[in-house]
Amino acid sequence: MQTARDRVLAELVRQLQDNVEGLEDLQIADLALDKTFKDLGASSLDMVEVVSSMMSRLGVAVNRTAFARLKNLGELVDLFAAELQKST
Amino acid sequence: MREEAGLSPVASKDLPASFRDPQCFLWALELRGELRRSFYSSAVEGRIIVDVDCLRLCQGPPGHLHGGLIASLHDEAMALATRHGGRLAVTGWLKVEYEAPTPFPASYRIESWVAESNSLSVLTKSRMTDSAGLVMNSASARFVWVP
Repeated sequence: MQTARDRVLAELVRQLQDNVEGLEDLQIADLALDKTFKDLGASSLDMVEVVSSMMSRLGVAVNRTAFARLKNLGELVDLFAAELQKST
Repeated sequence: MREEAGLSPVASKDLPASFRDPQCFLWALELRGELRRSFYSSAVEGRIIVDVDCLRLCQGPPGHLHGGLIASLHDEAMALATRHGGRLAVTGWLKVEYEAPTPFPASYRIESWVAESNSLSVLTKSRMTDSAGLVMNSASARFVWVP
């Protein structure tokens, strides 16, 4: 059974593929969760697009200030997974 | 300003200050009488209607409205739609689809609205129609909230 974290991870990869140049072929297995958006070559606008699209697609709202505290993609996935679990 | 059911005029003094800055080229065109805009808020929540008369100095291809000016008109209309909640947002990206030739000089109507909003950004849509209601071009944009 797919967990909330699996759903978030799949959506993150999908949005990175769709919105960040050079990541069109990115696979879940290739995504290092200790990396940041910047490490992946994403601009701040790419980040807004990816995160906004994730909120829309997953149907969760995540507080802006919570984003500012995130250190890497793994923490982003954890944050979304926690919100997703709260909403279900 | 035209009177129309369901539309409330937005007075110039209530527009964002950046719209009325003498260095803003759209406002400069208005001050020179080349372009005229009337802003309204619609009874449909959050919708902005802008009636535009492009009179002079707005041409791109001969006999047609300038594509860059069309983008600018959509940008300001959508920016105003984001102000519904009183927050400030700036354009992140803007996409315009030029669906039909837009004659010039002529009068047009732009309708803009918020399609989706979250803690980081707001997605807006906009369309420009002619006096018969034909959609000539449409736009979408992502505005990023200014903290």
